[in-house]
Amino acid sequence: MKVRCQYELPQDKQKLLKKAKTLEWWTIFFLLTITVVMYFALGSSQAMKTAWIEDVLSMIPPIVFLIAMHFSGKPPTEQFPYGHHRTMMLSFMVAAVAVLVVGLYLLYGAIATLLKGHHPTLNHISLFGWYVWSGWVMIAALIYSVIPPFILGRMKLPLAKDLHEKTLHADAAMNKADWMTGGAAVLGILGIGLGWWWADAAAAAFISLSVIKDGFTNTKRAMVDLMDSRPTDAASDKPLDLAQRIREKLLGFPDVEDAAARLREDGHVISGEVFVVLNTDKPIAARLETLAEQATAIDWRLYSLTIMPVESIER
Amino acid sequence: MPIRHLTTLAVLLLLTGLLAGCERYPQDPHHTLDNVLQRGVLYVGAVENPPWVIITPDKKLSGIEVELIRDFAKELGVTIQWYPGSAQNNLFALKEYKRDIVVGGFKTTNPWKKHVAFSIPYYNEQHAMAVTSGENAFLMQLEAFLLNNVEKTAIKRRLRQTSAKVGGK
Repeated sequence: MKVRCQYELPQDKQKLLKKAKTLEWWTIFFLLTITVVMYFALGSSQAMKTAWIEDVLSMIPPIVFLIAMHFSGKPPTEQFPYGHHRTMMLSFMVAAVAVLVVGLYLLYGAIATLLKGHHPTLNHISLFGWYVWSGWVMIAALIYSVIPPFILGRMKLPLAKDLHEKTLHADAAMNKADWMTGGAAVLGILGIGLGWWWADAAAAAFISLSVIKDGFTNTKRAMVDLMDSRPTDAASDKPLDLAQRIREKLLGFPDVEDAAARLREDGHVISGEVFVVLNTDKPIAARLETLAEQATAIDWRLYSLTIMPVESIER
Repeated sequence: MPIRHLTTLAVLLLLTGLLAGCERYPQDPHHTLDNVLQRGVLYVGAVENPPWVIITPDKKLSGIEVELIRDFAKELGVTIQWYPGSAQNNLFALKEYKRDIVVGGFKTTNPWKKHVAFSIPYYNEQHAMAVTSGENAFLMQLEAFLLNNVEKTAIKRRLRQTSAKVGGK
C-alpha cells in the first residue's frame, strides 16, 4: 500500500470537470463584459453601484474554483501528506468572508443614503451621438447583466451536484439568483423615474441583503467543512449515508463481526477511518487491505480510507 | 418564497405607478417642473462670473448663460425672477428648493456636486448649470434645451468677442 496515494477522478467525471472549468472561464469572461458595460452606465444611482459591486464580487467564486482546481489536484508530497484537496475550502472560506464584509458595507451605504434622503439625479447620457435619459441606459445594462449568469448558473448547477463540488454549487446558485438583484436595481431606477427618490436606495438595500446572504451562507458552509463535518450532498446539503453503507457492506463479509466508519470531506473527495472487528485465524494485513479496497469502491468520492482492526466497537 | 411575493408586489406597484404617471417620465419628486409652469416664473440664481454671468453695477444681467436662461424661459413660456448673489447663498437656496436653476459658469467638477446636481455639460465637456438633486423631469427639460439650442460656435464667438479668460468655479 502507498502511504501518499493520488486521487484519480473517474473518467466520466473528468469530462464533467473539464466542462465545469470551461463554463467557469465563460462566466469570468461574461462577468468582465458585464462589469465594463455597467461601469459606463453607472450614474448616481445607489442601486446601480451596488449591483455593479455585486457583479464584481461574483467573479470571486469562479476564480477561486479555477485556482483551487489547479492546486487541489496535485499529488500528496512529503510536506503535505494528505494532499492538497483542502485548498478549495480554504480559499472558499476567505472569499466568503470577503463577500460578507462587502455586503455589510453596501447595506450601510444604502441605509445611509436612505436616511440622508439623498435624491438621485439621472442626467442625459450620450449614446453613439444620441442623447437619452441615462435611466434607460442603466436598465438596458442591467438587463444584459442578468442574462449570461442566469444561463451559466443553470448549466453549472447539475455539474456541481454530479462532481460533488461545493464551490461550484455556491457559484452557480449565486449566478442563478443574480436576476433578482438585477431586477431589483431595474425597479429602483424605474422608481426614480416615477419620482420615488427612495426606490433607488431601497433597491440597493435589497441587493446588499442578497450579498450578505451569499456571504453568510458560504462562510457558514466553509466553516462547517473545515470543522470536518460529516459528508453532505453538494446540492441539497443533506447528509450522505456513506458511513452506513460502508458498515453494511463490510458486515456482509462472514469474517467481519462489527464495523464502523468515520468520514470527512476534503474538498470534493471523502476520506476517513474504518474500524472493523475481525473473526479470523488467517493473517489479517492482506485481509484488511482487501476490505479497504472494497469499502473505497462503494462511491467514487471515497479516497484513502484507513482501515483499523479493533477488539470491539463501543456505541 | 417571500422574495418572490415581494418582487410581484413591487412590479404591480410600479405598473400602477407607470400607468398613473405615463404623461411624463421621468418625474420630479418635488414637482419642480410643474411648479415652474404653474406659477409662470422661473427662479434663477445668478453668480457673477464673466463672460458666463455678468452683473453690472446697476444690477443689470448679461452674459452667455443669462442669455441661455432667457431663451429657456421663453421656451417654457414663463418669466424669470433673478436672484443675483454669491455661489454659496444661491446653491444653498437651490438645495432648499428656493431656486430652480443657478448659473455662474459652473463646471461639473464643482465640489458642490455632493449637494446639488449639475446638468449635462453643454460646452467644452465641463460647463454646466446647477439644479436641485433628483428633480429629473425639470433636468430633462433643461438638458434637452441645452443640447438642442446651444451652438458651440456661437459661444466661441461670444468668448472671442469678450476676449475674456474662460473662467470657472
